[in-house]
Amino acid sequence: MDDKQLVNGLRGLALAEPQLGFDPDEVATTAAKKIRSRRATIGVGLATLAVLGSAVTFLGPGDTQAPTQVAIPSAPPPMNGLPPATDPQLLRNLEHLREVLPKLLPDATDIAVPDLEPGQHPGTMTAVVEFRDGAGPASFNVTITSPKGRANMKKATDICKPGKSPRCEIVPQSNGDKVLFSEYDSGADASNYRADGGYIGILNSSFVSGLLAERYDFKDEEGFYKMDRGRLPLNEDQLTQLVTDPAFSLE
Amino acid sequence: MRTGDDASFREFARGKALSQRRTAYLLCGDWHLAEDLVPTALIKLYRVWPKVSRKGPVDNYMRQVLLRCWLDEQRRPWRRKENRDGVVPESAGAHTDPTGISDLLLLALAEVPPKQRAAVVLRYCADLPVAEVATALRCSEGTVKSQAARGLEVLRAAVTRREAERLPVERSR
Repeated sequence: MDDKQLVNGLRGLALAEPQLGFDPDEVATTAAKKIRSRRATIGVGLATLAVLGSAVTFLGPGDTQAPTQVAIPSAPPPMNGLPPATDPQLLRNLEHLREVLPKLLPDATDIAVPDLEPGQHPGTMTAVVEFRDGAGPASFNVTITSPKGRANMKKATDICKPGKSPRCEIVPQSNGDKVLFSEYDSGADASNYRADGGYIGILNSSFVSGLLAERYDFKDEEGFYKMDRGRLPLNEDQLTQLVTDPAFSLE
Repeated sequence: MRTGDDASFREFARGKALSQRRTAYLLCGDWHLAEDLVPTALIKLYRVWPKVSRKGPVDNYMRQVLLRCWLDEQRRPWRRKENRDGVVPESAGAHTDPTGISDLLLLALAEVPPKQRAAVVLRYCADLPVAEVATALRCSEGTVKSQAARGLEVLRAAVTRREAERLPVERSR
């Protein structure tokens, strides 16, 4: 088949299209509800901050009682309405991630790791890290699995193939772990296939999600939200530090 | 959102749902995933609809959002449960491609790397001008041409290989 036949074939592709499985009007209604609920959440948050601000103002120098410490959440809760995961193992990993990030990303501001949604598979957790640096808003995903949960992860050979991807390199570690560095058009990921059977992987793409672009008003000259920040969130050293951190683990 | 904006969004969503799902299917090769991607993209589009719709035609912005949703999905480290062997689940039933060329091309398309596939799908399947593909992919026209050319190269190789694999089976019948 030559190029002309290929192009003609692509232009005249015959698809056995099933009936549309969703109602566009329902999608619009859902979208409208999500916006209303988001606004309501933001409204409640602002009202809470206003009340806290007033309380601090009333506590003048003469007040002897120390004000109660109030923890302001660093990031919005999961947006899907499900309760955040409460498993102690997941929370321990999440807390550790929150601890190491400021040292790992010294130039970043607004570092946020939202609470976890329930895992997609048993023995699996994925945390989304968001922050901002000189190149704009950024995010990356950290996925940790137990040895059992690793069965649901892609194998190294499914992630990339040497010679076909810009980079597809397995770097053996002194402790027996194997770290796969894979690069593609707009990203460079790292996956650690641990000797103990566990897995930790990081999706590290320069893509900027619509939510982040909107939150930071990250737009191009034409006023459209930018899709790409032009720089990866993590460099190779940072990727390596995270994926080889033994404190991340799931039983 | 104002009532007028909401109504124009609904009209857009109704009018474009099928064509966007078709584009999504050509990108991902899975009708179920395509059914997920389009509503996700529409919900994202809804948030910016008043601004975007006033700037002119929204099709390209919708394509950008759809592409982003698909690329995000591509990046997930876990496997989806659905069968990704190119067999269409719950299809309309009637076989629309008696020559088998479309089936062959769809299977081969799944072997093309994501960015190249996006360029091929938008340029040739959707028959968009290079400039519009460049806008949708947020890259230069030169990049579109090179990505589409490389994509066609991979596609041709996959088609040739699949044809060679198919011939002995047909001869043995």
